[in-house]
Amino acid sequence: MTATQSNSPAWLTEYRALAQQTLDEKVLPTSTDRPWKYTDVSALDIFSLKRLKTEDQVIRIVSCPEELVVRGLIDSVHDPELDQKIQANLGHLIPANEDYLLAANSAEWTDGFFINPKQGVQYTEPLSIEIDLSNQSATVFPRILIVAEPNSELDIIINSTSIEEEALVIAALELQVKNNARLAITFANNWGFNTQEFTTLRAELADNASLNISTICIGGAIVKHRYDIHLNGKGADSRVKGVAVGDKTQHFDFMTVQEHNAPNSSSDVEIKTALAGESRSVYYGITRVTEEAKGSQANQENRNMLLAPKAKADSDPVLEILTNDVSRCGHGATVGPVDAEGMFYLMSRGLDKRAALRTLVGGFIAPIVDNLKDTELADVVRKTVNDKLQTASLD
Amino acid sequence: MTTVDPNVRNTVGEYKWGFHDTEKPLFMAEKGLSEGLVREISAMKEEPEWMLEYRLEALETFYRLENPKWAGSPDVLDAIDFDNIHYYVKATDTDSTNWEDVPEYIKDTFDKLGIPEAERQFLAGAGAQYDSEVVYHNIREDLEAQGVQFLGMDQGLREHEDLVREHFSTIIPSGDNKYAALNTAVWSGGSFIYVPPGVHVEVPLQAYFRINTENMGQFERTLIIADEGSYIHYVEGCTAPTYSSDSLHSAVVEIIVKKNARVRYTTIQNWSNNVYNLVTKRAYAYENAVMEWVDGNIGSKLTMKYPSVYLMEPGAHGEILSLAFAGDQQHQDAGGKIVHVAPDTTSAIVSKSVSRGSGRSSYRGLLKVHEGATNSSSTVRCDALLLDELSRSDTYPTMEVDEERVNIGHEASVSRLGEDQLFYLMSRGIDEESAAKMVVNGFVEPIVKELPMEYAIELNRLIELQMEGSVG
Repeated sequence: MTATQSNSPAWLTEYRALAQQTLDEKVLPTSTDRPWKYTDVSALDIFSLKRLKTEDQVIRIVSCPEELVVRGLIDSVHDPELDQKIQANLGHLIPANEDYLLAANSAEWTDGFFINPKQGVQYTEPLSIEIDLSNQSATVFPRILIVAEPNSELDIIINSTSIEEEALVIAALELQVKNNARLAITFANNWGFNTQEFTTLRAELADNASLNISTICIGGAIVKHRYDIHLNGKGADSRVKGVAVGDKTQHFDFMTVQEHNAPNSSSDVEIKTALAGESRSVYYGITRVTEEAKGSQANQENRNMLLAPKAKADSDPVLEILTNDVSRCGHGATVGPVDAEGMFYLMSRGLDKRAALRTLVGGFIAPIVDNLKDTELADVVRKTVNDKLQTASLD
Repeated sequence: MTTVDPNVRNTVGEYKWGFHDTEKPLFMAEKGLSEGLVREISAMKEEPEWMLEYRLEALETFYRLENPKWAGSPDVLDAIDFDNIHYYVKATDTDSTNWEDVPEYIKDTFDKLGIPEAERQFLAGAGAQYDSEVVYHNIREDLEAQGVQFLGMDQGLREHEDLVREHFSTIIPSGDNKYAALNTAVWSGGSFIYVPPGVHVEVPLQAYFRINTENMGQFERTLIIADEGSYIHYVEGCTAPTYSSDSLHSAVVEIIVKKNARVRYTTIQNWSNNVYNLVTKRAYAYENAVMEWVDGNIGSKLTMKYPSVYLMEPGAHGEILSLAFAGDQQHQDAGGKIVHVAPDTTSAIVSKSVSRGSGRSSYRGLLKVHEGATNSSSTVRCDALLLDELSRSDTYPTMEVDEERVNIGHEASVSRLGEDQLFYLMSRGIDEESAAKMVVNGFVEPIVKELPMEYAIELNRLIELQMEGSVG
C-alpha cells in the first residue's frame, strides 16, 4: 500500500481490501474464459516490474479546456466536497472482485483523474491526457472516473507512449454519461514494442446520452481494449471505432459489449485492422438487445486486412436479440488480403508496391481516421501508419 | 392494421406425429447407464472385441467430460437426467429387407408417417429405425448390383468389419464432446453406406428415425463412405411421440467424401417438443470433393447441432444450408462449421432462422482457415426473422483466420415480420395468417428450394403447422 492510501476514506480502504483479497484468491484468466480465448495472459507477472508513484507523473494533463477542473483521482477522493460523488461512482461499474486484472487495478491504482464536465457546459477545447512511459520500464495502473453531467459536452484524448523496454499498463475507466450529455474519448496508442496494455472501459448511458469512442492502436506487444457499454436510457447512442495496424508479433484484442436496455437506443461498432508480419488481431463483440430495448438499432462491423502470410485475424461478432421490435440489427465480418486489383491499378500508375499498399491501407482506415475530431492527431496517425507500412514485413 | 391478439399468438401449432404405440418391446434395458449395460448391448449385438473396447473407453470419456461451457441454454441442458433414460430398447428382432416382415404395429407407425409409400414413389432405398434398432432397410436392386451398400450400422459392422474399423470414430473421436462420447458408448442403429467409385445414386436414399418409448435415448451411428467420383444424396427424417417427460436423441454421423465425390445429406428434424436433440455430424472432403449439409430443424425441445465440413485437400467444397424454426419454448441452437485445411478450398454457409412465441434460435458457427489454406474463400450469411416480442435470435459466428491469401466474409441481419409486408399482402385481400405464412415461406425459400420436391412440400407444410394460429 502506498502512503497516499493511509488516510483514505473508509469506503475506499474497504474497496481496496476486497480487491487485494481477490488478487490473493483469483488467478489470471486463461483461454477457457471466453473473453481471453485468443489472448494468453496466463504467464503474465504483473508485479515483476517497478511500480510508479503519483509523483512520477506518468499520467498527466497536456491541455485542458478553460472552464473544466480536472483533478487527480487520489486528490479528489480526499476532498470532502467531492467524496460523495466519487463514492457513488467509483467501483460502481467495476467491482473490486470481478477478475484478476481489474482487481489489480482496483487494489493498486494511484494515478488517474476525476473528470466531471459541468451540467449544460459544452467544452469546445478537448481535454488532452498523456500516459508517458518514455523514461522507464514500469507497471502503471491508470484509473479514470468520468461523470458527464446532463447536457454537457466534452472531448477527451488520451495519448500513450513508452520506451522499447518492458512496460505494463492495466487501466480501468468508469463513465457515467447523464441525460443528453455527449462524451467522446479518443485513445491514441503508440506504445513501444514491449509494452502490454489491458484496458477496460465501462460506461452507463442515460436518456439520449451519447458516447463516442475512437481507438487507434499502432504500438505495443499485446494491447487489449474492452469496452462495455450499457445503454440504459432511452435514445442512448454508443459508437465505437477502432483501428489497429500491426507488424512483427504484435497482438491486438478488441472486445465490445453493447447492451441495449432501453427503447430506441442505438449502437454502432466498427473495428478495422491491417496486419503485417506475424501480427494478429482478435475481435469479440456482443451486441445484446433486451426485451426492454424496443425500436433499437445495432450494427457491428469487423474488417481485417491481412498484409502478410503469417498474419492472423479472429473475429466473433455476436448478436443476441431478445425482442422482435428492432429497427435493424446486423453485423458483418471479413478477413482477406489487400485487394489485388487495387494494387495492380495503383502500380500500373507508377506507384511502387509499398506506396500502393500505403494508399490502400490508408483508404481502408480513412473512414475512421478522417473522423477524428482532432485533425492534428489524424495527421499524426496517418504519418505513423505510413511510416510503419514503409518498413512492415510483408512476407 | 395488424393488431395481434397475444393469446392467439401463443397457441402452439399442432404436432401431428405425437401418437405412440403401446406394444411391449422385446427388450428394454433398465433406466440408467453403467459399464454392465454397455457390455450387455455389445454382447447382444455379438460385436467384435475392439468395438466393445471403443465403447468402454468412450463411457469413461463421457463420465469425464462436462457439458460445453458455451451452451446457450445451460439450465435446459443441465436438466438432462442421465439416470432416467432407457439407453437401449429393442422392439423386434428383425432388420428386414421385406416390409411384410416388419411387425404389424411398427409397420402401422411408419405407414402413418408415409415411409414405405415414399420409398415406392421416389426413393432409391429406405431404412427405418424404431427406438434403438433398425427394423427395415431396402435398396433398389440395380444399385445393389453396382455394389452400393445401404445397411443398418449393426449389419454394416457385421458384414464390412474392415471398412467400419478403418473409419469408425476417425472423423469424430469419442472425446470430441460429451454427447459424441455417450453415443460411442451406447450406439445402436443408424446407417452404413458405401458407394463404390464412379457410382452415381441419382435418387435419394432415405432413413427414418422414430422414437416410440418414453424416456428413451436414441443413439444412432451413421457412417457414409463415398468412394472416388461417386454421388449420393441421403435424407433423414425424425419424429417422436409427445410425452410429458423428456427423451434424448444423440446421434453421431461420420462422412468420408473421397476425391471428386459428392455427398448431400439432408435432415428434416421434427422431433416432438420433449426430445433433446444433441447431435454431432462431421464430414471430411478430399480433393475436389463436394460435401453439402441441408439441415432443417423444426422440432425438439433443445437442438444443439452444427454439421461440419473439413476441407482436407485442394479443390474441396463445403456447403451448409441451415434452416431453423423455433416455436414456443423451443431452442434451436444450430449452425455449422467449416474448416479449411487445404489450399484452393471454398465454402458457403447460409442460415435462415425463424423464432416464434417464446422460441429462440441461435446460429452458432465456426469458420476456420488454417495456415497454408491459401486461396480459400468462404461466405457466411445468416438471416433471422423474429415473429413475436418474446422471440429471441442469437448469432455466434466465430471466424479464425490464420492465412493471408483468403477471402472470408460473414454477414448477418435480424429483422421482424414487417408490418408493411403484412399490410401490403392484406391490402391485396389475403388474410393475416396466410400473409404471415407467405412472408415466412418466402424468407426460408432459398433453403427449401434445395430440397427434393416432396421434402420441400413437406417442410413448407411443417412450417405452416408451426405458424398455425401465430397471428390473430
